[in-house]
Amino acid sequence: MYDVGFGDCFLVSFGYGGGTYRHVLIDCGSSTENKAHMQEVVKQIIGDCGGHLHGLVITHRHEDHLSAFGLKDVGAKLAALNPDVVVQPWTEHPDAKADATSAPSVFTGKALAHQDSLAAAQKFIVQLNENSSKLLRGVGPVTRSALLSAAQASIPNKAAIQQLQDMGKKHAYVYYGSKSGLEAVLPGVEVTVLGPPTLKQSDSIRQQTTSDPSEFWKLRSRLAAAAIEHPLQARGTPLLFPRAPTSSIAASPSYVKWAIEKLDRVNVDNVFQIVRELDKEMNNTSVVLLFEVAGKMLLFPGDAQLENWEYALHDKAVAKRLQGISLLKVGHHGSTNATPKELLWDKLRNRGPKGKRGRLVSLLSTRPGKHHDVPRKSLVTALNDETVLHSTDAWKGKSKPIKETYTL
Amino acid sequence: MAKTRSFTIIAQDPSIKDGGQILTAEIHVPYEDLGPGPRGYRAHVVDYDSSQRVLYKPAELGSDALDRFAKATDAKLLSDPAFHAQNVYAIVMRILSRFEFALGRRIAWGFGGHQIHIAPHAFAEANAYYSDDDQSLLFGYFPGHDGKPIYACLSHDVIAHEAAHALLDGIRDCYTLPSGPDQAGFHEGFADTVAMLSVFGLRRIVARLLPDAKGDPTRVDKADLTVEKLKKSALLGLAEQFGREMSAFRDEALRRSMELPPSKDAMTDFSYEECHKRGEILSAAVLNAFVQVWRARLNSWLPTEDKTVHKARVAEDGSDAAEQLLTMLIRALDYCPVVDITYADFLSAVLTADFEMVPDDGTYKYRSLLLEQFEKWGILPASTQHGHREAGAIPDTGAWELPKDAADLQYDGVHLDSLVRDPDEVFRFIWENWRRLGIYEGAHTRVTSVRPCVRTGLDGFVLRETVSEYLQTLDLEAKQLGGFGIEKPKGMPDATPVRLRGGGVLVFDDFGRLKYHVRSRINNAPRQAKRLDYLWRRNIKDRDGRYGFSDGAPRGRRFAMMHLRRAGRLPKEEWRD
Repeated sequence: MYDVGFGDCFLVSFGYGGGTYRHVLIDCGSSTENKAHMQEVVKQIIGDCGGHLHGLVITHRHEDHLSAFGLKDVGAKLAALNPDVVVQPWTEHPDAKADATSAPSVFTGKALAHQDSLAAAQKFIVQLNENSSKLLRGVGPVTRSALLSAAQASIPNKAAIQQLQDMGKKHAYVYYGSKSGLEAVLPGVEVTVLGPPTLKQSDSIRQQTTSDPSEFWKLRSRLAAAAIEHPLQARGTPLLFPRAPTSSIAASPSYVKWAIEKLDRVNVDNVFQIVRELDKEMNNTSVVLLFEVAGKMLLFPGDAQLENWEYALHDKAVAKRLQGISLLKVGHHGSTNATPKELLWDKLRNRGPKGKRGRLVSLLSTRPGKHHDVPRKSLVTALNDETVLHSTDAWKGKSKPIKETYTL
Repeated sequence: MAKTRSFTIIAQDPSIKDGGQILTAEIHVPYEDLGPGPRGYRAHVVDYDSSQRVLYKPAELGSDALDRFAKATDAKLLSDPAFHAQNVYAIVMRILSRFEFALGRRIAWGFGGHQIHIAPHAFAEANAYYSDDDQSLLFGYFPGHDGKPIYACLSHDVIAHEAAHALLDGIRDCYTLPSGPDQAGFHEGFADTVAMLSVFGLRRIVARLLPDAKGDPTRVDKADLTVEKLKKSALLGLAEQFGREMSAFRDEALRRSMELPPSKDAMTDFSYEECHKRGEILSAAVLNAFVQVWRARLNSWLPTEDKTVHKARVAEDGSDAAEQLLTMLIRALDYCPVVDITYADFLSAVLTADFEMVPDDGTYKYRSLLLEQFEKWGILPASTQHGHREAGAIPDTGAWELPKDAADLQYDGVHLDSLVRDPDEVFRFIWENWRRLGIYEGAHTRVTSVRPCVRTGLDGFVLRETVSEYLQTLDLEAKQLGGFGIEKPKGMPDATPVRLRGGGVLVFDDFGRLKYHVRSRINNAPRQAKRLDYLWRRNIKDRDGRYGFSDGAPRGRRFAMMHLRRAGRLPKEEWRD
C-alpha cells in the first residue's frame, strides 16, 4: 500500500518461486497529494515491480484512483511499465457512447443511457467548476467551497483516461461474473470479478426504483442533461418558454423577491444533490476483485458502495465464500456504506481479537477531512478492534513511509 | 360577488388524452380577488425558474371569474406558463377547500404565514416537494423521452400529493418529527391516498378508465364491474398511466400499493419498517376499501336485466365514493393524536370522525369496509387494544371512547366563551384536571391550538365541536430513562440526549364539555421505549447526535429527500458514529 493521501494505490505481487513475481497495480491516484509526491510514489512502484506490470486495474474513473496517469511525465512512466492487461469496469469501454454503431453485447440501450447519463452529469460538473462565479452567484464562500470540493473528484481527467486507453497490451472491461482478463498473466491465481454489476444484473435486485428498471438510468440521463442545459443558457433566452413574457426581478415587489431568494437557495441545494448523486454513481462503477491463491483470499472492492455490492452479496454462494477472506482493502476510504455491515462485515470469519490465528488484515488508504465523515469513526474502531489494520492515516511523523509491505 | 370560480385544469397529466386531445376538467374553487401571480389569500404563484434565473410574468387571471383557458388548444396549455400557474393554483385551492370543507374550519399552513408560495417551474430537476422552511410548494421539470419538457406542475396527483403534505403539516406539525415507523410512513401514505382519491373525484377520469362495452363506448359491461375487475381497470389502470412519462415524479407508489399482498404480520415485519413501504400499506388499505364502497353503491341500483350500463352513472358512483372517503380521512385528522401516530390510531380517528356524523354507518357501510381492509393488514382500531392510550373502546365501532370519569372533571372557573378560542383557558382546564385527565404534570406543557369547527354531514346534520391540542416535551439523558420506567435502547451511551414527546387532543362539545381525549401520554413507558429503540436502530438523530429532537434533514429538504430516498437516489447508511 502506497501513501497517496486521500486516494488508492496498491501493488499486489504474487510469488512464483525462485524469486520471480508477477505484479498487479490497483489504482494510482490522489485528490490531496501534489505531483512531487506522486512522482515519488511512482518511482517506488517502478522499483517494486521491476519495471513491468503484469496487470493494471483501474477500479473506476475518480480522480483519487487515476490522477497519476494524467500527470505529465508521471503518466508516461506508468505507461512504460507496459502492463500485459489493463482491467477497467465495463462502463469505461470506449464503445460505450450514445452514438456507438456497434457495441459489445453488454451494452444494451439501457447501458448506453447510463453512459450518457454519467457523461452528461460529468459535463455538468465541469461546467459548474468552470463557471462557478456565474452559476453560484450569491452563494456564500463556505457553501461554494464545499460544493466545488465535492465536485472535484468527479471532474473527468481526460489526460489520465486517454493515457489508460493508450497503454497496455490488452484491455479487459469487466462486470460481475465476467472473466477478469488476468487469467493468463496470473496462472494459479483464481481471480473473480464481483462487481460492478451490469444494469440488467443490478436492476434484477433493485426494488426501490420504478417497475421499469431502465427508468432509473434514463431519468438520470435526462436529469443530468437538464442540469447542464438550463443554468448555462444564455441569459434572456429561456429554454422552457421562449416566447413567454418575463418580468424584471429588480422591479418586482418585495414579497416576490423574498420568494426568489428562497428559490435560488433551493437551486444550490439541488446542484449539491446532483454532485453527490454523481459521486455515488461513479463509485458504484468500481471493479470489485477477489484474488484467491494458496488458500488465501484478497478482496479489493475499489470504492464500491452498497448498491454495487448488493448484487454479488445477493448470491448466497458468493456471500459464503467471502466470509473466509484473509485481506480486505477497505472500500471508499472508510465511508459509511462501502463496507456492507450486515451483508459482509458481520459474517467475516477471520475477524477477531488480537492473537486470533489467521486474523483478517485490512488496508485503509484515507485522509480525514477531505470528505465529510470519511473515514467513519465507528468503522475504524471496528477495524482496529477486530482486524490487523494498516491505515495510511496512521503513518504519522516526518519519517512517514511512502509505502508499507505486507506478506500473507 | 360570485361564490365560486371555475378553472380548467389538466385532469390527470398531459399524456392522458381523450379524442386525441389532452383530457381536461373544469373544477370550482371558492372565489377570491386574485392579484398577478395569481396571488390570493392562501396561495401565491411565483413563476421563477431558479435553474434559468428567469421570472415569468405573473399570470393575470382577472377578477371577472372568467376561465381564460376554457377553450385553449393543447399547444396553448403546454406552452403558456400562465396556464401552468392557473393549473397549480386551482388544484392547490381545490385540495385546500376539500380540507376546509371536511374539517369545517380554516386550515393554517404549517409555517406560520397565510400564503404558500407555489413555484410551478422551480428547477430543472425530476422532483417536486413541499418545503416548510421556504414556505413553498416546488415543482420541477425535466426533458422527456422525446426531449420535450415534462412538468410536475401539470400533473394533478403530484400537485395534490404535495398540497396534502403541506396541509397535513399545518394540522399536525409534529408528524415530521422522529417517531416510529407508522408516523414516518403516514405522511407519504396519507399524501398518496389524498392524491389518488382527488384524481378519482373527477368523473371524466373514472369514466375513461372503465372498459367499453362491445360496440358502445358510452356503456360498460356489468360483468366488468366486479370488485376485482374494477380494481384492475380503475386502480391498476391509473397506476399504469402513472407509470408513463411522469413516473419520475411519482415513483409508482400506487402500483406497488395495489400489488402488495395483504399480510396480517406486515406491521410487525421488519421489512415493512421502511417508511415508504409502510406508507404503501395505508394506501393499499384505503384504496381497496374505495373499490368495495364503489361496488356497494353500484349494488343499490344495477339492473338485473341489462347486460350493460351507462359508464357515466358508474363513474359518478366511483367519484362520489372517492369524495366521501376523502372527506372521512381528512376529517379524521382532528381526532388523531398530536404525536407518534400509528395506523391503529388513524383507523380509530377515521371511525370516530365518521361515527360523529353518520352514527349508523349509512347505506354503504364505509366504516365496516374500511375496518375489513385494515384488518387484512393486521391493523385493528387503537381503541380496542388493551392498554393502548387507555382510551378503552366502544367495541362495535372501533371509535375512541368517551373519557372515563368525565363526570368528575372540574369546570369551575373555566369560561365556555374563552374555552372555544383561548389556549390559556384550555390550559386552565388542564391545570384543574391534571390527574383526572391522566396528564403528567412534570413535563413542559403547551396548548398549541384551539379550533372551533362546524361540520356538515351529507344529510345536512350539523356538528359543532372545539378541537384543542396540547403538546408535552421532556428532555433527558439516556441514563435518566430508567427513572421513568423506560428501557434504554441497547448500546445507547448514558449521556445521549433524548427528547420524549407527548400530548393530546381535547374535543369539546357544543356546551364546552369534554367529549374525547385522544392522548399520547408522555410517561407511557412502553410507547417511549419502542420509539427510542426504533430511532436508535434506524440511526434517526439530529446533527448534534440527539435522539427524538429532529431527524437531521437539511433545511427545507425533508420532503425532497423523502422523495429521493423513495426513488433510491440517496445512499443508505451502514456505519454510524
